[in-house]
Amino acid sequence: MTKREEDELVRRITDGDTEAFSYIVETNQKNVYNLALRMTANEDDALDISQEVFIKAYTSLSGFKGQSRLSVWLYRITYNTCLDYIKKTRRIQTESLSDDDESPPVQLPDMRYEPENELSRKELKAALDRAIDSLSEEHRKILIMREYSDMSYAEIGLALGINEGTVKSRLARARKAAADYLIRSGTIEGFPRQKDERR
Amino acid sequence: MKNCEYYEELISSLIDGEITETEKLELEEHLEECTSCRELYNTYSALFGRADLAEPPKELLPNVMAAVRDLPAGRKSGGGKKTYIYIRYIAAAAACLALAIFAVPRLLPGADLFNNKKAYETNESIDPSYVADGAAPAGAADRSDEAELRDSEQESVKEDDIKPEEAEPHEAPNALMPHSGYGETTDLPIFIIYDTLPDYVSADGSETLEDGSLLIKADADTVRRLVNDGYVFENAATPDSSMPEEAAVIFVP
Repeated sequence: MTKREEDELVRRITDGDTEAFSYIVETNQKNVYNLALRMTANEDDALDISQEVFIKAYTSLSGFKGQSRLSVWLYRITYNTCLDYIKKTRRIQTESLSDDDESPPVQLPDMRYEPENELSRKELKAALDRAIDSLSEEHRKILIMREYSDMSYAEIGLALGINEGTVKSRLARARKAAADYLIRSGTIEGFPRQKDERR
Repeated sequence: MKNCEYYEELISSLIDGEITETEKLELEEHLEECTSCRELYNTYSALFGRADLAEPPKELLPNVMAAVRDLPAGRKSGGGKKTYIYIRYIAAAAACLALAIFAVPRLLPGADLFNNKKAYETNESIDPSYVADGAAPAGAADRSDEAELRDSEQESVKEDDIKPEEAEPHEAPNALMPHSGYGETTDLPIFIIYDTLPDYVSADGSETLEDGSLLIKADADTVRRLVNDGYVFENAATPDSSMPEEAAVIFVP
């Protein structure tokens, strides 16, 4: 859908065509749900939040000035809603991985002594989630945005209020920081340059 | 000669498909010569590049559409009011409450019915079952509904008996986060912002609330910018369904 078509759709909805809103839900629900799922790590909460996000968006559509794409606006609402929810229920992602949590800790195989073994994709993704949680707020936010939605660099830039060049460099630094965390934790081996530096 | 840090950024961009042809050729040449960057590329390919996205539950779309169709006219798109997903259940609960109040008056001894109703209307998270906590006064069972109402009007309820923010939040299916509790701080629509204030919202002249949060007045332009940035306001006190001309920002550092 082009920007112009999107603006027309928004106009129809704010003029009273409620059913037209279903198109917005259908095309954005996957991104919204996955972002909420990533931030809450709970399917029920993610569903609740996703529903809340779309209803909020519906009632606030007249305030959406169309300066960015709907997907970007919805991302912002989702992120703020998740943050709001997490703060209110005092559930922080890093705490969910702590020993105090009731859920069993993520079991990461010790790669240091079995370098030939490869982690399964699922195990690697779980380890990556842990690495992302260890990042600074700035790095975590942009990496989650990129990894858990289909937003382009341009859209990410719009959402964060930064230019594409900054998106590019910030993402690269975030990924490097995540990879460094995984190396320090022994999940993956360091890169030859780093190995040489340790000698 | 560019260092590996430059190519690390290109590797990240390549993973995302956000790289020009020229940059791609440049990177490919470098990867042929640099073992470290080649291993970095392999690692990034395994780690990054769009996690397998989960399919949203099938009920998400129909639930949302059912909720927006049920919104009162004043809250339709363009209303700008925060709408809790469980408003529908609150409406049903309100009907049950009315039934409980007028059909079983013995459960509400000493309760000021009008105060109860007022508290219930201004806070959507109140579970109507809280009104059943009181014990029936002696002889209440033999009295007419009208007599019960008259007596209850005459008796005031201590504010401590009804504290919307302490009442059990309504546990409707898929109920969401509890009411913020700031609804009685101001009659204005409220934006609640945590940690970092947008740069166009100034804390100058703000009022510090009991819990340490700041109450900041927002003008129409600020309201529009906040909504455009994905912040949604709550507090249904404002009857007008249009975009508010002013609002309050509750900043929770």
